Amino acid sequence: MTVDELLRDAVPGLGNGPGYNYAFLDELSKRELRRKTLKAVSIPGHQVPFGSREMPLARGWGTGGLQLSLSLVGPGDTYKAIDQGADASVNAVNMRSLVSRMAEVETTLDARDATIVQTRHRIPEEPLRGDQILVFQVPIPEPLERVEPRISRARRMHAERDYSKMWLFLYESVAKHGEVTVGARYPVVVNGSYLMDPSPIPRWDVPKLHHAPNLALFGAGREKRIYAVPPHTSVEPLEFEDYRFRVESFPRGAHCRRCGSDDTFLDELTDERSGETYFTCSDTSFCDRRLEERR
Amino acid sequence: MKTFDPVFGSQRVFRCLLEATASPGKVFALPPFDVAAPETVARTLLDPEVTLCVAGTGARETEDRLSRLTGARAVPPPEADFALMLDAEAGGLASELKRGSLEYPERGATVIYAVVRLAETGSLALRLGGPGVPESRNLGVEGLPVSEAEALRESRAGYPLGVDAYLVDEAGMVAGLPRSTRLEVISSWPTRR
Amino acid sequence: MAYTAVKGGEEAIKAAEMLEDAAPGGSGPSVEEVEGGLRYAVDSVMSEAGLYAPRLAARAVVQAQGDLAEAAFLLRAYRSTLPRAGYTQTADPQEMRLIRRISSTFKDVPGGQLLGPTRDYSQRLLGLQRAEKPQPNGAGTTDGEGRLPRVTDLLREAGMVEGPEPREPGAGPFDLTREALAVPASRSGRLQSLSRGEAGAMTALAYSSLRGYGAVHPTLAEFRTGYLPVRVEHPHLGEGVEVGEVLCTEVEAVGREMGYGGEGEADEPAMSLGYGLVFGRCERKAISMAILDAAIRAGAEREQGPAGPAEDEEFVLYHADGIEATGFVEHLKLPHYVTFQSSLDRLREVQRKAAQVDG
Repeated sequence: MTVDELLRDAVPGLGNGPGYNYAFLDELSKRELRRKTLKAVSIPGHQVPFGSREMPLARGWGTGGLQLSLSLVGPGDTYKAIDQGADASVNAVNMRSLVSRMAEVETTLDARDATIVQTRHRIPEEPLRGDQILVFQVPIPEPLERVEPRISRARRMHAERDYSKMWLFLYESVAKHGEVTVGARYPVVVNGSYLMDPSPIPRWDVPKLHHAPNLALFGAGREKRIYAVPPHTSVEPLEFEDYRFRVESFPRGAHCRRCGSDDTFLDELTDERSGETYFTCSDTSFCDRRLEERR
Repeated sequence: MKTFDPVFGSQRVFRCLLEATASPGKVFALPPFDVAAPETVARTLLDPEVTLCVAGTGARETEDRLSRLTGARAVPPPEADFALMLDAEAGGLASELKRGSLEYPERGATVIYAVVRLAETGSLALRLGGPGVPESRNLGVEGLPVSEAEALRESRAGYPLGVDAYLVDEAGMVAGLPRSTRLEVISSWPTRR
Repeated sequence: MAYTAVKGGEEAIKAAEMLEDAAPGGSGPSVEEVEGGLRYAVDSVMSEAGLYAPRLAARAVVQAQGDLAEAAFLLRAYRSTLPRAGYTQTADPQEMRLIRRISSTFKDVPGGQLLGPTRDYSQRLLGLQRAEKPQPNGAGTTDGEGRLPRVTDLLREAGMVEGPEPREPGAGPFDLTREALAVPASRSGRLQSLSRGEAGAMTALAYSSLRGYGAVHPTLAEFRTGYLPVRVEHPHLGEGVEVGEVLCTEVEAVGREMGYGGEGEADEPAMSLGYGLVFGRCERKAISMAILDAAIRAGAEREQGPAGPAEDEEFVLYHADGIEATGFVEHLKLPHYVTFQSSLDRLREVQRKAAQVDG
């Protein structure tokens, strides 16, 4: 039996089996999510615990982002899902099929047409607008997890805004390696107040959060927390005066093999025949559009 | 007018509230239903998992109705997750409400003020700043006592502790004043009766 | 097949699903056969899903082709779509219709030892000649015994076991399905969390305590399996109406030598009690739950902190949930090339700097 068949059973009016509620979650679950989302937006960067329901996707596969999307969507929304920048990635395909069937919304590959963009590990290259909501799937919401795995202690550190352990961690990394070695999931300070995990986006995407025109919502299903960055809010990466935050760099001359872009985040690939390294845009639908425009 | 639908009505009202929270002080139109606008907000957010208190003229009746419709338990203001202030008669409410703790600031209450009119200017003018507000923004309110605006401002002096507020006017417009918003009362004169 | 092929992800998923179901409508066991004959599988799935629904659990076992972690996940995901129709009255385990009752505290106990259906004392020989179809379990056919006295009550009266804990203040017990659990958790929150925990993870943690990573090594004052009546309040008459029974396993474990203990009626030193209650005949899970309940309390009471992972509340409660653990471990199969690129970038930078220093 395929997911297609299961979903056909589940959507009211289609199969004979018992149906699911609009947008999968029951209304009380949505209400809780919505209340907690409003609190999250009211206290930018603060992690708000929530009940987190089990979803038809495994824990750790984006259930937090999915729950947020399902509590948001209604008729008239257009939904886009990306994973590592790609709409066609398995996880994104799964999300899109579930949301479009359960909530009967339009889906799109073009970031410009979406009202809700759900993402795993990337922010679209296309700048978002104020009427769009960016929903992040978050595996580990706790930025202090690298230095303090104990949630109860990390929460106390947030309460006291005591981030000395994180600074020390960065300092030690510089002392040992001559460089801040944090790759993705780079810790940021929101609204000059809370330390926040921006989800495992590359550093390339971190500056896009700073004073963005759109609302950003972050959902961690397994860890049961929601947090948010409202539009026009400062989001600053931790950095030292002499060791500045820097985004990923690509080799000189690196560009997308498909559309030719040299100003986007690139995926590194190896040509199976020649063994040569080449690059393509990580944001596949942005790449498609550039390709179209250049033709 | 359209009946308030708990599934789709709630969803539309919620999205409007979300926008209002994300862009504090900006005025948004709630979708119209056959229920007073402040009550559509309450019915969107309340359920048996939360508590409620209502203040102002006819508070008891409204509280009973909302409690029956949503399952939210009626409690005194200091225990309430949600408060609804029906008119200017009930001043000082914000100073009585929960503000949360440093570890769980989100446990601070949410208050919904039913006001007369929201616009860019009004007998009470607020200048806002903070997240969601590029530079600064002005909000004019008719029907909210200065003392209440001051109580709200004071409630969040210990940010992230504080009370989050929504102002809903008679025309069904809503503006959010989340606790992250800096409030400055810049002009005021007695409310028209 | 590349799993992020720019086009065709959707087709690839469909093809993968079809491959997994090699023989659609094939000759595997039916839902009825699983419900009747694979009762332990059904019980384990209900217990970890936190939903008592044998038929649905059997369905999940069939759909998951016997992967019980997957089946529990299917059932729990379905559970989260169900609106809450109401609340039952607090069930009293003393009303259980017992099919099994053992106490290892004394040779003979009031009410007697009731072995009931079990293979605990049989030789585990793999049958090579038996029928292939699974056999129904005896638990379903026993009438069971009514109220039997509890050894823990007798020990309490004798001042040997601590008194019952006072009720938690507030409107009702913590609700794990509605709120995120924070530690230190209330006892109701801790017990709910353990009751839905993954049997293997809990067994491993409880075992570590028995082996000396911690010091809880209790005696089972009560080990009971039976059908617990469930009642809801009649909307008009106000009295409790029985709406069904749930098969449960309950364990009360007592001990003191492990460095923890409560106080008896007369404020004298007494043994403390660890409690376990789980859906179905998940016997080792119920015992593990009682050990972990006691161990977590012991850990909280120790001045120097938990004496091992089993006594560390956050460690136990945040890692015992099978659905969370399996999901996150398996998510590593998802593409991670963006984050990997980011790590590569940092490593190359560090290597470049190292080369500069060397040169």
